Amino acid sequence: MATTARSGGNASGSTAQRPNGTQQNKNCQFKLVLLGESAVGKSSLVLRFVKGQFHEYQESTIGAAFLTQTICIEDTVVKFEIWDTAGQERYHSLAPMYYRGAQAAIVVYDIQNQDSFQRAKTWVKELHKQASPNIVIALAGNKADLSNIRVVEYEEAKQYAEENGLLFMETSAKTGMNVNDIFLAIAKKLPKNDGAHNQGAPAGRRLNDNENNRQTNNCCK
Amino acid sequence: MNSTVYTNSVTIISSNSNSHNHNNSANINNITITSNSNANNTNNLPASTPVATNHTTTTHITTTTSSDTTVLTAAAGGDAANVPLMTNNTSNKSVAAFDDQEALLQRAADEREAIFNRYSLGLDPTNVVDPWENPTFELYHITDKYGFMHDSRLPDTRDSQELQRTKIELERDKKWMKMLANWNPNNEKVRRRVFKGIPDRMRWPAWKKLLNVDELIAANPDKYASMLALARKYSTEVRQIDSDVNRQFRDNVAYRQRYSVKQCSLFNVLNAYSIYNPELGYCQGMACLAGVLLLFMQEEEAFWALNQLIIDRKYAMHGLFIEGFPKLTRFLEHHDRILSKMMRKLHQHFMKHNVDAILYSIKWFFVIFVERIPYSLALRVWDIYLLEGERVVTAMAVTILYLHKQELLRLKDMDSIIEYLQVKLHKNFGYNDDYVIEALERMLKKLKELKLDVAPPPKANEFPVRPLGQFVEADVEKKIGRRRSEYTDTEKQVITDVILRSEQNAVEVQSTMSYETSECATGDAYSMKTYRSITSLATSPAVSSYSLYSNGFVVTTNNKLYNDIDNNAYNNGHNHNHSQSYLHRHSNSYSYSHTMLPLQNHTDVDVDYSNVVDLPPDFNENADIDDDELSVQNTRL
Ligand SMILES: Nc1nc2c(ncn2[C@@H]2O[C@H](COP(=O)(O)OP(=O)(O)O)[C@@H](O)[C@H]2O)c(=O)[nH]1
Ligand SMILES: [Mg+2]
Repeated sequence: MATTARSGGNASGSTAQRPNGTQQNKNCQFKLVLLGESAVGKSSLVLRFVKGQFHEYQESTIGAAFLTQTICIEDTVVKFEIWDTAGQERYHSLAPMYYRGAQAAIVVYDIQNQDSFQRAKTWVKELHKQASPNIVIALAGNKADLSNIRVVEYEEAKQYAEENGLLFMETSAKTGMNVNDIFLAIAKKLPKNDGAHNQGAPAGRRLNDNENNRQTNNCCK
Repeated sequence: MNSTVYTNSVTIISSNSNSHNHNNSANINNITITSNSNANNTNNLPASTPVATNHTTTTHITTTTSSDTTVLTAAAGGDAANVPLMTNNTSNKSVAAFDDQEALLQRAADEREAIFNRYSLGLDPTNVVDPWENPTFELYHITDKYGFMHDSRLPDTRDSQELQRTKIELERDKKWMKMLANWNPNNEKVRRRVFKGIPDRMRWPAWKKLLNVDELIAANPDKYASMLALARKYSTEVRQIDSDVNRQFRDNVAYRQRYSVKQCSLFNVLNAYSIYNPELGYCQGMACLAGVLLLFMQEEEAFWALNQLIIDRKYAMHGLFIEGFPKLTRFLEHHDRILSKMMRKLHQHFMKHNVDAILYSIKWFFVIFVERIPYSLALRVWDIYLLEGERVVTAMAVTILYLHKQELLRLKDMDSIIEYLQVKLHKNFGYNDDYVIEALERMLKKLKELKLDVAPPPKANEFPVRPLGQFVEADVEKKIGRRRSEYTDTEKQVITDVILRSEQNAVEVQSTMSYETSECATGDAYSMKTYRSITSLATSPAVSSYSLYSNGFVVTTNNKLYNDIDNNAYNNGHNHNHSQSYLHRHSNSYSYSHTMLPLQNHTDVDVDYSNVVDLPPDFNENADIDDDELSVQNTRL
């Protein structure tokens, strides 16, 4: 993918044990899922983060879309594998497919839509119940550029986020406000273990996570 | 005050100088301006005033003035649902309002009315839309013959090849006109010509013939109009449809402009259909199907064409879109089965990288490849799909993977594989359309030989139970659009199925280790680790003790699972006859002969499930269809 800064040819994201002995950057790979009601701007947020673009005519997501983006924090290269899901209620039953084994989730609502905020809360509850216990959840109040017609107050959402241990930002896919920041905040919060420690860690990361321990979960040195 | 006020819409229009809307006054009477100190915050618009309706709801209204039209932007932002909650910030009050059923019902009704009004106005200048909804575009230079617009200018002059093609198309138009006049879809000539591609100008009459549209309209006079009228009053899908219409094919001239004729037709067809077929309602994906049909048909025609795709057994898309997506699951399983038999190497490659079919193929099945392969090619596939039905989808899915097998095998991680299938092939398929269609035709033949062309039969739950077109008023929850926080039983079943299927695939991967071992031989430490973890997986009882086909047939030694499934989903709606006849027809197809037996008949039968995951004797790695079998000359572009 053109947008990802690959580091080395190893698809699994590990640059461990380079024979030449040079100090490599730490290299991490995380699965992140976007959840939230239809039309709150999930796809737009991903597009902004991955391609730096905004399409007013973002096509509606059927099923789910998959994209990746790599960012650097200090000496660590963090690659996000992003699953952007469909928001319609009917697709709800497919969601576990995507958040299973995810290390991070962004639950998105639209600040000018109270229902979408309620829906976001339901998502958070479901993630707490069903997703991996260490999942890092961020709450994004999107369309912040329309804050003049907001209905979900910043303070209300902030308080809810604090009570539930979520990262929280108001974002705008349209202007780009806080979009990179929210991904960065997540990346910072995710455990970037030492390679040695992580080497045998069996935490799964994809669909058959419990059974297929063949992918590394956290960072590998 | 003489204003058009749509209480719950994105834009509230207050026009001082027109009389287009005689019902304005009724609406405006419901609005009382109250004062609220919170209102004038960080606006980039001139003024902001909160407005309360007599339904004890308050909304912030922002007023801008442009020429003689006052545009009021409501805080509700296209979402009536907000209204009760934005009264103030104290949450207990919000909750109280949220639970007020009367208010919520009214809110939903207002929203429906408001959205419909905007589509009724269509392109009327009083239908003010946000400026960004109608950008100016360099239309004539970047629009292709299907109306799709491109980022860069298309070539000015036609090359000789294209002129040649135009000439041929004209000839074919003539032949088609003759053929349509004496229409007989079973005629071999029709088949041959459909595979060659229906000429662009002939798609309208040809698709109508293939989908029986004129007959349906004649048989159901006024039905569409009455469904649309009911939708206007009772549709509960308005908001979702509105937001999807706003996003459908906006790169096509027909849909480019907000509330254009085609956008309005699309909105109407989908709403009317949600009333006509209430068990289906509206599901994302249907906008794309109807969107394609409307590029070739009128509104009422597209309605019946859509219905044919959804209801007619040849296409039977109802089961794809209903809650739980039973047909999707069934077709994905069949797809996996084909891969595991015909392209084992690729299948294992996908499994190794956790590329489950559901991750790349939903659009293949839901919208028949639109936006996953180039549009011109998708139309060719649609031509054949309309003629031959659902087996074309199965075959095309495999054809795509077959044609790109080598490239896909070279991609060594999940994201590049998915990117390749979801994005790259849409931009550039790499083969010309004719070549792909030839490969598809051969694949159809090949699958038939292998008795893999038809997926296992549907269960009864893939079809509507009640007769269509009989109006059923939605329940309160649905009208309000309240979200469920719990999964229904069907949904729980889907989740189980989906997970079990990926587990089953994991079993298949570990059961055939040759591929993995060959990689281990390269001495790659990572692969070796992979190898070990997969090997250990083989002994995990959780995975190896059962094997489930979610179309309702299970072969298992795990009694708990067995019983759960029995209780949850398969007690009703089993179509025994179907299963039996299928069993009969496919008696020498190795896997179904076990899996097709209905569960209930089976409760104490100890089935040898190992057959299900094993491959039949005549299939092995070498049975991969290779290049000699399906293709010949390399016509790569
Ligand atoms: N004003 C504004 N509009 C946005 C923003 N993000 C998304 N949208 C618009 O909201 C609509 C839905 O966005 P989309 O990304 O498709 O939502 P999704 O269904 O959650 O994926 C599109 O028309 C977008 O252009 C934003 O930050 N500000
Ligand atoms: Mg989306």
